[in-house]
Amino acid sequence: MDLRPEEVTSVIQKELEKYKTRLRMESVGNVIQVGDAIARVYGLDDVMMGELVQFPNQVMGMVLNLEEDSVGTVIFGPDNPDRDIKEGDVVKRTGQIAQVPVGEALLGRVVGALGKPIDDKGPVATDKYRPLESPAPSVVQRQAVKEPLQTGIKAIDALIPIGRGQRELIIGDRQTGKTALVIDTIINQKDKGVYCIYVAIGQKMANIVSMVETLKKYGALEYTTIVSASSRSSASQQYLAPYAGCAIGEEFLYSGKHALIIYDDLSKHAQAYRQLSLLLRRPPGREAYPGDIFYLHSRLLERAAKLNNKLGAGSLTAIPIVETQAGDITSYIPTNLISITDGQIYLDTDLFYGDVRPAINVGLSVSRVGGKAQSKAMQQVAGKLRLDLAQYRELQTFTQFGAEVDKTTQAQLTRGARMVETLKQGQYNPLPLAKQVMILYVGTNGLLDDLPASQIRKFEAEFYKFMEKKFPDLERQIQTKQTLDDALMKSLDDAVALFKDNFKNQG
Amino acid sequence: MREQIVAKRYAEAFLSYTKASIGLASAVGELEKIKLILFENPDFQEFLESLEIVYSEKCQAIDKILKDFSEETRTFVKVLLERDRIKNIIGICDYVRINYSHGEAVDALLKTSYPLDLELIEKIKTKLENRLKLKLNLHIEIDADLLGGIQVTVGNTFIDGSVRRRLEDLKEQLESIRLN
Repeated sequence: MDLRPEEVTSVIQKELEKYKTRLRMESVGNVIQVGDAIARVYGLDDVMMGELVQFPNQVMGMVLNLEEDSVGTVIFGPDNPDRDIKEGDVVKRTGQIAQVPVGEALLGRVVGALGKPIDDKGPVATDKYRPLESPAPSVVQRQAVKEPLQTGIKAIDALIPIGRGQRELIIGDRQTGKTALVIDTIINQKDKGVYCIYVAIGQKMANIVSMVETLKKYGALEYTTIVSASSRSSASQQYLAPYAGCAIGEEFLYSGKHALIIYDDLSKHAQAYRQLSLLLRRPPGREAYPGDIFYLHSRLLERAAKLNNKLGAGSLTAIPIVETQAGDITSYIPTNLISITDGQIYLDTDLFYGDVRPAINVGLSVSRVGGKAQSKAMQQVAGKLRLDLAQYRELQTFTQFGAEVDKTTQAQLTRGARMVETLKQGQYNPLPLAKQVMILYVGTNGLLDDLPASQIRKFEAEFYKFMEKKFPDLERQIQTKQTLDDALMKSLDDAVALFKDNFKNQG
Repeated sequence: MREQIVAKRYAEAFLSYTKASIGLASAVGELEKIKLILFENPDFQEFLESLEIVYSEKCQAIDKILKDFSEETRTFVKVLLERDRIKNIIGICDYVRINYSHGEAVDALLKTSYPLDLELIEKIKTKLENRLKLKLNLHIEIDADLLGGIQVTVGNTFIDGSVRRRLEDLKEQLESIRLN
């Protein structure tokens, strides 16, 4: 950046000329106790709930408890934010509630829980701010979810479709590929007009860095904002980060655009809030979580919505992630989130180590509203798929003991095994809708039944290449028509027959 | 902590009630005397707190013992009895003594960067009193860090007219300039 000294001088001169100062009457209090990023303040009689207060040395805090004779505040900042604060320090009101900068300037940036950039790209150039806490859109302002949000993952788009404006929970043990799913989803939003916000709560810094690198590599960072409250940040920041991310997403929502927000993960968010609550001496409830832990998440997720046409028909889709312990989805936070969201994607450790990746347990996963938003073509192929898989699961347990099976049962088992194989998908490899429809069409119509299961993935990869080379038109037609009519099915059948001959001769 | 809150509530209520009738000064004085009586006669306190003696009997005793006191103060002690707050009476007396023994004047701290003339201080005081609608009991402190101007703290209100604060404001303003 080149700066001209004269210009700078003149700007400063102008500022100095118009500089006026007035006496201010401020409301103040004194710290009576401080520790664990919590300060109790005496005074501040007229302070509001949720208001920002200023401690000495530019440290900020937020009021979370109003008590008879004192005010409970949390202190912001990384690495022991309370180390510069001591008993007797003066605390000032600011009259503001916490807000974050929003807008397109945040795309491609990594920011902290209060919107301060933490990458090395300089300040965020925006004048727009939104409060962290804001009411969710009302019933009148919404409309039903109607457009699909393509994740690019076959198993999800076919069986557990997500609509724009929906809230879909991803739930599973550690190391089952929860984050991998959402990275693929973000990568798949390229050129689809969906802005992404990834909120990292209590994660390792190294993970966040590698996440940024991955997104950059696949060209996905330019439409993504990362809100980071790593495990280094104080509990107060981890508590606020999802709300900050949501405020950034709401800016897109209310300007008629589409946004996708990922909260990774809300179990750590609940833990951070539990820490704050216990330190503020709020009474503990089940698993020592405070009484308002449900409201903490429900008010956050209610802000995801599809707005009506009058308001610009924007949408904010939320994908919260929650980590379970040893597959227990009946513990407190997972059950809360399951009941708040419009469905869940359950990732299974056994499937993951059984080499079914993504390890989506199709039986336990549901999407309550996304089906209506699914495209016609996908509905045509997915209906059969769901049935095939359900039958397969049932028969699989039955035949585990080596029972003799009749011909139809054997056929169903063969089909099921092929379909499970078809739904496997590599990481960083989201597929466009048309490709998904084609391969699922091939699978559900039994065209893979005569191939060995181990060959399916190779078949799939080469099939796409073949179709791109020989029948590029077909893919385009599915993409534009969004439905499979008779003519399309006929030409698909022909193409598959042709390719299968090639494939068999070759292999 | 809880005792203090209770004491504050009752004391404030009592004073605001007596302000119009017997006046603040005599109310404060009477409470002080009650405290003295209780200290000198622990038996009396025991009598008041006793669970075996009925309310009406206690009331009669109060009327007899505190006959030199105003009607308001006697009623106040009876209210405490009725509400079962009689054991807070010492706390209430203490609260009143600490906060109202100087009359209505509120403590205020005036910080200046250098010693001011008495005349000027008096001027500042009257101006502040008019503005805040309070009687002030001004304490003065010298703090060279202010660089100039004054700072006033009254209870939870803080008025900053120091040169240091103005310079900080200016710094903030200059830092927020963005070149296009």
